[in-house]
Amino acid sequence: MKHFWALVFLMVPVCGVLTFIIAPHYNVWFPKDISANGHVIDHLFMFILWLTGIIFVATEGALFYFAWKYNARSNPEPVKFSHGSHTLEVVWTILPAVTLLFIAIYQMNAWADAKMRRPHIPVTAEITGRQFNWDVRYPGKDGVLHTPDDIVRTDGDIHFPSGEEVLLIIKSQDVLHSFFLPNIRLKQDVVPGMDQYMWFKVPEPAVVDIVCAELCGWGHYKMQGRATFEPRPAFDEWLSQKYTEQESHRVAEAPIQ
Amino acid sequence: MGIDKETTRQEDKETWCDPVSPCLPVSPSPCLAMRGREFSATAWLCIGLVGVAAFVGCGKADPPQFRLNMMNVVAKQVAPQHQQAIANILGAMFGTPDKPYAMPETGLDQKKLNMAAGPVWSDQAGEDHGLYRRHCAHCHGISGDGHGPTADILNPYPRDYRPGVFKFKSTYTSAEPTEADLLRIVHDGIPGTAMPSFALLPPDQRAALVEYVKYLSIRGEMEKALEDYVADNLDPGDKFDPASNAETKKLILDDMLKPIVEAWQTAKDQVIVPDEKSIPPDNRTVAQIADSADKGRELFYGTQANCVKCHGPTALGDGQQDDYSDWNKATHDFIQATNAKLAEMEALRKDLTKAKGDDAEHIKEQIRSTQKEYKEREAVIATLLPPRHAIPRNLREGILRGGRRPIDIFWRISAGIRGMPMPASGPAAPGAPGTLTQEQIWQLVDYVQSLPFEPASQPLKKGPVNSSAVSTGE
Amino acid sequence: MLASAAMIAAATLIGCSENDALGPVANAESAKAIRQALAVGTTAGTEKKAAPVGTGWATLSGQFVYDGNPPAMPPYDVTKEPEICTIGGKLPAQETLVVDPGSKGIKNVLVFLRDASRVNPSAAPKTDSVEFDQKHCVFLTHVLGLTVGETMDIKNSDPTGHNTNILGAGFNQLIPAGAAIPYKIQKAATVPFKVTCSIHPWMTAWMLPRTDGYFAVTDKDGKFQIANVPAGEPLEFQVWHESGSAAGHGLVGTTSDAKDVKWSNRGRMTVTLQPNEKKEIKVVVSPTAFQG
Repeated sequence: MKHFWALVFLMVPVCGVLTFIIAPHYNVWFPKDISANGHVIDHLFMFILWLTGIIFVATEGALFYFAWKYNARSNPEPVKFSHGSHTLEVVWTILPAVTLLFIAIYQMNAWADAKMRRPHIPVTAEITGRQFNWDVRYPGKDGVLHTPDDIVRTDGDIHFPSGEEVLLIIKSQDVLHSFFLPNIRLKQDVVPGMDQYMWFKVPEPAVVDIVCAELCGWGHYKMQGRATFEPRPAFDEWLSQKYTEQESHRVAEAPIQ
Repeated sequence: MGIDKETTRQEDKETWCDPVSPCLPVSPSPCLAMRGREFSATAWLCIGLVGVAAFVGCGKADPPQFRLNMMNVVAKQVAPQHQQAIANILGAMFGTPDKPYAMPETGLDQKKLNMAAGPVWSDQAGEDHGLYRRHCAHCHGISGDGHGPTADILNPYPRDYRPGVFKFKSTYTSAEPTEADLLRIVHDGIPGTAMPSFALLPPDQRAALVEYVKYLSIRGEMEKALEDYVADNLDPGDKFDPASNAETKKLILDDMLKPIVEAWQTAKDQVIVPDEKSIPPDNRTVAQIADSADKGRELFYGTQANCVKCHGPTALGDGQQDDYSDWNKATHDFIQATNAKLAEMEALRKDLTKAKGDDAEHIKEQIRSTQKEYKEREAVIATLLPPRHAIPRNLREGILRGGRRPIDIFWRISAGIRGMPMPASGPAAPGAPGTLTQEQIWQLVDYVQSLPFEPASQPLKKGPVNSSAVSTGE
Repeated sequence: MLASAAMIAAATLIGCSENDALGPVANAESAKAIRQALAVGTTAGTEKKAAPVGTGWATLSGQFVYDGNPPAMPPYDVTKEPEICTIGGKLPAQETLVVDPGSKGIKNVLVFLRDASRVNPSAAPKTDSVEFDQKHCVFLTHVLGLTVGETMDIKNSDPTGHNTNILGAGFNQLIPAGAAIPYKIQKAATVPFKVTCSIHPWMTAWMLPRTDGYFAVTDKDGKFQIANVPAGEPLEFQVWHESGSAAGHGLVGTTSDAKDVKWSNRGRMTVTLQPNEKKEIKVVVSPTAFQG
């Protein structure tokens, strides 16, 4: 038919926009945000989505318009080449550059808060990624890591205190992994030989997933953990329970199920 | 762009790709060269082939099957008809990877086996099936031989369950692990290895996996008993069929299966329980712990416990690195014996040059059979994991595979590690005398626990931090 | 064009190659039949014919002799503690094939009766303690036979620790310097266990636990004697040597002066003795019966 290709290209912005409208209804959208600052990341995402979305719809709309109007079947006049427009070139170079610069500056604060302004609090835990498991080491009663009273767990069931800022050291034992907490909107590649800091605050108790976000081998897909956020008294109670278990000199009465 | 419809140049019509002469395509892609606005017939053929290739696949794959332990079969030269008979008996007793069978004599739980076995799928209710194949088979193999597809790239190798030997357990040296031991390994994983934690699975799934591991282990031990018996006692012409011979049935059930199952069922009675009076008190001061660790250090370097002989005077595990674990030793011995066959053939060929008549025929026959055996052995070696030395643990790293609790270290020192060169210092069986007393073992435990925190062990308490832009002031 | 079509077809089919794993797969029908047969309460077919049983007792003795020039034994590869593990500064020689230069007798050949239909009280399982010592990082007894119920008194006469690892028996115990640890034999076997030390891995010995006393280890002249074996019935003796090239380290010899002794290629000799007979055999072993 006459305007076949124009209509095909119209489908691109139409389906694109439709996808973003119906996705949340099928739960293909942001995971639940349990953190104090996750909304900043979400806001940045939405801002860029709207900005690029509007430009996208406008550009595709223009494409559709010209494809319809200058359709070869209905418009047999041959193409006229112009020698370019200096003004146009300048405009559509400067506008995107300014937009991108704006986005870069707009997000700097969010980046600094998440990656550069480390809170001056004692470290809550040290997380080590290995193929294919997340291990955790808590500093124990003396508050210092790598001392005999550390609590070391390898079962991927990692607890953190809720309602306060949490500071983690993250590292890798072998290859690149990425410590990713989707519900806190934070991820950071763990690099072998390098310690990194990660911090966040989760106001309410919650239980969320930890996943690996950097391809680390055949078991990357199953490298999971579970992060449990509980109030500080419950967290301390859990820590001392795990410490007692760890220091056990006796056959366990209630063995692990 | 686009081909001008009016072109009638002779070249355009004829120089485009034909199978015989090299292509001089008019357009960049011969498949999509368009004549007018139609795809050419050749272009359609191209598209059709790609489509067929994409969709034909390989048809439905055959379900995986249990195979025999070919290393043992070839080493013992079990005749092919006996191999088939053994495979049938094992199929009868234990079923297949898709349909396992819990013989009543084994005491295994059929429901748990059904949960763990079979292909990976989830039902309408969201229940997971095929747990073993989903979580374990890619390392541990379908038959539990420790040689799944990902095993080649792992160090240490995954456990081969078939000898029925497990390293990290709470029981005396020669006993099997308890169910609690296996559950703990599945729950915590093994730090320092590729064995991850499965704590995030529901408890009933973990129990099903442990039951399936026991099943594979009992099956493997039964297979070895059958192969050893057949190799030792039967001639190639003899029949081996419990369905037609009551003696064979009795042999299989009473002489072979019963001791294997009993060892598993009595494991929980073989747990090493330390005496209460030897256990150090809970509220020791730092000085008391250090004192105990000092005594442990003396034992570590002494001639009673001899720890330095293997773990090295530095405790880095460099005292001795040329021994093998039982599993790797079996592979190593098999390879050595195979190489010896070559020497044998050489010697026989030398003899052949001197022999005459009947003797020469006899020697030729021997050469033929040795050559056949050598080829069989070579085929088996191609399927084995290359043997590796057993490296004693680096105690300064603080990564202890069997667990870091004092009781875990106590069990390793007291019962040794079965299947490894690590010997027992405690009693070999209930009531037997040990090399060290329990107090001495607890002192060694304190020393081992203190080793990672000695100044010599701590070159890098903190790694380099990623960026000076991350403020480091406290 | 045809070439690329052929390549695509080939690429598709290569991925479909059959799994060529070794060994047979269980046959479903046979497995079903066997499962039914193994179920409780079913009676299977023919009983085995009872083996003939004789009366009386006899004694078998003899000598194993090496036919030819025995290879020289290289020294052990002592990689540790040379001050302790040498004898007067010299490395101890290996014992994989020890032949007496004068009598050509082969030492450490183990001969045992595979299935005893009846056991004489003198060969009944004992409960005593048998010494098993190690000095200069060498096991002083190279091949040891024991009965179930006996205790192996594992001694360490060296000033350094050893661990005695009985491979496959689940026994691996630290023996402190100058001390001894007992090991009670619980289960019999048909193939000797290898005994080694993890700390000094060149140390090797062999131990075979049996349910009766019908076994003997040849001395340095290759001589052995097994007394009070059942007479009047065929006796199958397994001949074993750690360097034997038959299956399971069996040792195949020839008894040309005792034609009634039949040899199998597994190193098993079958003979029937008369009551009160004291049979002496000379077994000549060719160098080809030993492995490289």
